[in-house]
Amino acid sequence: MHRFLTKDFLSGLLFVGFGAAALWFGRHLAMGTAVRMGPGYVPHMLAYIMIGLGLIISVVALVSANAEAADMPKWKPITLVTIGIFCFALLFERMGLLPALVVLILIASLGGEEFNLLEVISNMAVLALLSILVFWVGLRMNIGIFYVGSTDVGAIVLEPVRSGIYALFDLLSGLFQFIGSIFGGR
Amino acid sequence: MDLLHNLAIGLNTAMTFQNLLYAFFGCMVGTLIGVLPGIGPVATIAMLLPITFHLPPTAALIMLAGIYYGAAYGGSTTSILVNLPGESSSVVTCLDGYQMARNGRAGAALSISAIGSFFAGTVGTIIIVVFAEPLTRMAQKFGPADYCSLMALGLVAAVVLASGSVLKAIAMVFFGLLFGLVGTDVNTGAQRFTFDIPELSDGIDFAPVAMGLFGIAEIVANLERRMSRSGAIKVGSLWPTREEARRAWPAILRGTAIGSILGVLPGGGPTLGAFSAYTLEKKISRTPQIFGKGAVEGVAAPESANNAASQTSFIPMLTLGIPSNAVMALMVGAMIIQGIQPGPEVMTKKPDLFWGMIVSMWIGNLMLVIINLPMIGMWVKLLTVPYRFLAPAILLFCCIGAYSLQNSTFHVIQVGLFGVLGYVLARLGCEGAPFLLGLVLGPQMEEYFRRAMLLSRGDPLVFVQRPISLGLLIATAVLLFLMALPSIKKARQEAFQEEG
Repeated sequence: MHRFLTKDFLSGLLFVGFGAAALWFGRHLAMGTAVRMGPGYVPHMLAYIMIGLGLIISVVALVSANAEAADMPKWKPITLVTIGIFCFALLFERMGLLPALVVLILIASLGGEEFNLLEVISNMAVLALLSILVFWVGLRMNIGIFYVGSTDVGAIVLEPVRSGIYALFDLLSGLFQFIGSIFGGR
Repeated sequence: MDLLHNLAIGLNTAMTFQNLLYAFFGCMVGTLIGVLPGIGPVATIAMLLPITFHLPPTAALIMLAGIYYGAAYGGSTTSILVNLPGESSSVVTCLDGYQMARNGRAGAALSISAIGSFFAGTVGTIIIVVFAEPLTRMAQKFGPADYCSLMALGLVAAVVLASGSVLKAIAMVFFGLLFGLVGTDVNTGAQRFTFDIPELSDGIDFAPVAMGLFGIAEIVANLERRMSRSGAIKVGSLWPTREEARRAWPAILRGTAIGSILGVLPGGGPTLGAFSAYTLEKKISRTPQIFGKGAVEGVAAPESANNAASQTSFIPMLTLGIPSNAVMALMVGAMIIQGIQPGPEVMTKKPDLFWGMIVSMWIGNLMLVIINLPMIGMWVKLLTVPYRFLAPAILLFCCIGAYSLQNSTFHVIQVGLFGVLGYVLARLGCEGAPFLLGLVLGPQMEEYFRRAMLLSRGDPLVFVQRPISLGLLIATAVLLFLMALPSIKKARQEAFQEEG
């Protein structure tokens, strides 16, 4: 087992690294005094504590003989999931929900062990329907469905369906209010 | 007979058909978004806020309150069944709830959490009715130094949650506090660690961090393990065994008590209540080693505590107009939209709104039990879906949910970045819960710390001169000391084994 590749040593290193980064990027923040603290007082304090704790954790890990070894990560799932999320973020406002959804699900599914194209496509279809129903129809979120050029073709096609659902809902709530006025009296 | 009179006003308002309907609607939406991982009550309430404009004030507030406690309810369901906390207050429920589910006791865990929540909700409502005024007077006595000490206690409690190394957990708390600093400094307006990214000037949102740290890291871990987790979970009987019930009841009572007290304090709220209740159970238990491996108390106490706290956290909002958490801040927003200025006048000027809302909370809790116990079967059905279908769905809802927070893809990117961070931390055996609590409490804690130091003219002794603060700090120190003891013992034992 390599002495430096233990979980504790590496996490100590991580803490020291983030503490040092906080010191570096916060170097221009004024410290102020204990009475009138500047914006940098608490960040500096926290960064020093982080570095101190990180050093202690690393040193303890080096000294103790039975620190747990860190195993090599599998790169595929974490890389693909992260790429999928970034692609979604990139496509969502430019192309709309549907293209972003297709790309996200395709890339994320590639990260798993079993990949069956037919299953992935049916998954996309179900999730597309569900997310449009919940977010676009139900929560009335202002999101693009499918942009071709700068027009949202998806929204134009689906708008009559959405209006229909709202009309039905209005009818039902009117009915409820009518029943309510009979029972509630207010 | 003021009390009965108030209750009568409340019942009169809450029992109208319209208000019952909105309470029901709120509970259903709340449970649904609580069950769906990655969409929290804050995002949903924020999205529904424009709609409430068209409703009468009482109905709007009743519905939003329903979403709030319904989400806590649904959140614990996903905590238990898929190890995904719907929101911060059900993070602790994951620890033992999910383990109970893996032991085949998912049904019992769900019904204990439901019954505990209902009991706590009932007690919480009674407390609001009886103690609203005196309790508010008590909370008003808290100075900045006291708040700061209270939060220190809460953060140390978070360390107890971590089952690994105490040192690493403390480091994770500071890590979270450091991330909490990002954004505009409240006192001076200086930009801190924002890297000229405008979205960061408001600070790092809690939701994308939670989605990344817990949601994404969990998905990746499951993809790596190549297992369909759903197969491993059997719900089993909904009825707790006699033994489980015997152990759950005292925990529910204690959890309710802690949650009710901590809920009243601004900055306390459901999360702190749940964390503290779990800590207490673990400390007073005769078998602390079973915690984290499916202890009934570890589900009953925090679930009762967070529900009691979410009820009593209405007290500072309704009486002082001070929101104690993000949801309460949105409730204040909803009241202002309706032209009601939250504050002490609400109770006297709008008694029907004040008491109607309180009574409807109890009715909503009752509805949740009635709706949810039969529907647990349906939530479980969600789990028979193979994980390779579930993973992209969770990912997608996280992405859209993150976007909807501020209609910005920057939050989606944040989910991805914190997913990577969460993955690295999980690989290194560092736990996310202390980090998250540090992040949430960090900004407030800094503000109180600076205010306390300003008031004492830079004298740090203020923290031990105020009796409330001193008491809280002593409790914190005792907790740290207790934690250090077994850790020293264990380290010694291990060293011993190596030599021998």
